[in-house]
Amino acid sequence: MKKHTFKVSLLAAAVGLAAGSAMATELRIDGFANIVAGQMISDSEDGSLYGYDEDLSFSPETNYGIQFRGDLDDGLSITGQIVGRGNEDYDAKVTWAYLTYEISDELSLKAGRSRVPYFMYSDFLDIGYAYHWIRPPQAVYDLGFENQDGITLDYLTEIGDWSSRVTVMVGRSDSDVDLDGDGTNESRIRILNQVGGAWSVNYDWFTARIAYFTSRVDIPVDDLATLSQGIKDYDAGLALAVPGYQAGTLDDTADKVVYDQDMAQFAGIGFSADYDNIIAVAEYTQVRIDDAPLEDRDTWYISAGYRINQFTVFGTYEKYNYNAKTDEVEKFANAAPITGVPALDGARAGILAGLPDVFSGEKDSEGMGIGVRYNFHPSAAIKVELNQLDNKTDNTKPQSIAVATNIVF
Amino acid sequence: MMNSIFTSTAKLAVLMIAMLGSSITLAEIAVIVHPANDSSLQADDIAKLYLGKSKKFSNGQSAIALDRGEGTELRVKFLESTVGKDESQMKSYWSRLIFTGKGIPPKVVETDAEVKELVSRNPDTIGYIDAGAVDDTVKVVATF
Repeated sequence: MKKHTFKVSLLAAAVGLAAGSAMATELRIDGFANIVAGQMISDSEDGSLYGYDEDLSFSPETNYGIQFRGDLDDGLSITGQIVGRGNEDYDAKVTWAYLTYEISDELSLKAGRSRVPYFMYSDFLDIGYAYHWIRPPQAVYDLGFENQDGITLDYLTEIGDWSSRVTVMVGRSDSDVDLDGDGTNESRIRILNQVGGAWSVNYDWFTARIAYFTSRVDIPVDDLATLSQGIKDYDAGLALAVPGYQAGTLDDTADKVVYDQDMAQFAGIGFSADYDNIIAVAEYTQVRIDDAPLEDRDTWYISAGYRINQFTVFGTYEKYNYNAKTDEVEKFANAAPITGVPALDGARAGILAGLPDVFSGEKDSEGMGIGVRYNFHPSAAIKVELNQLDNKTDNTKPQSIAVATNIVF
Repeated sequence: MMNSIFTSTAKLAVLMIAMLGSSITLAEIAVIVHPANDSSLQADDIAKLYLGKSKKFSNGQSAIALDRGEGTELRVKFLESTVGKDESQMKSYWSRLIFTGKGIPPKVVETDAEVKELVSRNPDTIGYIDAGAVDDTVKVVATF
């Protein structure tokens, strides 16, 4: 419903601008297209990467987009981006729609739906032409949600030979996320009261960037809610049956199994260099969520490339680590006495059997990629990239190959 | 007869030298501003204006950079001498800004005459043209 509202207002704006009203408006249209074909080259029991399987397919990563920007007088502009993705049957969706007001040459205000600048490449994730990979390292970039509705302040200044950009934003995002990655378990992730920003400094060939965000994360999952309620009921039962048992002792565990407006923090740091024929980029990010099953998500990557005329050869190493709160199960077992009451002990056993599933999301993997980019046209590049993921947790090594054509127009 | 062959050869040589001379001037690029613009502009400052990193001249006046057509010899050389990027790198740089609403690349103006006219009329503009096309309606701040 929300998306629909955006579409209508954008259309109205676009039509108003195209009609060339009395105001000095100017409509600018830019577009991009990424046609990506890929397939797995490892055995099928090794799993898949980026949505590919053993047959060549175009849909997982192919996308296109059109951006409209209408410049009105006095620094006011409206921008809308419509994107169609292969993995969504190329249905065109309004992904961004925002108003920009340039308060001064240095300061601008943006209101509406736009991308959250978590990462160095967040703003132009869909613009394959703007970077050397086929897709930015997924260990870091696959966070699950990208856009938010909110207000952004952007402050651009020069400090000697350095330029500095400070972006501060507040907002929220609501997105449907496929929890198991196979379409069977969708949930609506809500990132509420998100506040944060990014600061990047650039000196000719060198850029450094830091980002920090806090928010309340709400992910309703039925099974987890049932388990949480079960723990609370069991706690109440213990309080009645066991003299001296303090009611609420297990509330902590009950809170931790659900993502119920839990406080989340995101922090990231990145560097990039583009010196002579050498390009290098590295990013490190952390996600922490209090009182939730996810203990911490630490990810980083480093990538380097070398340009030879219109060719760029590059290599990437990425690392993903997601820890589980393994000691939570033990804490529960220690706090919950065995009573001899069959109903209570049965509930205890049931909860103890269920908890490891909740807190065992541990994942550890490292990935490697090598590839080449060739600018065959001033507005188009073709890329080939080979990737391998080494899943330490389940001992699989999926490998993929993909060929991409990235166009901007 | 002999004499006339010599004369024509000599004429041809002069013509060739003249052409060679003019082709050298053709390759020379003049960065121009309005005659009233008293800003100091080093190659670095020019690069910042064309990269959208600064939007003002050193005298505080707002700046509008005018670019030239993609693929032209003039633009290729200008980009190499000022921002140190080739056209693909420049495209990649701007695509990072365009699709985030953080900037719009300089407007493209096709001919030397048009750039000269715009610059001579608007004190906020900066452009680059074939040095041979310079006249006193504009002020040259750099040549490459």
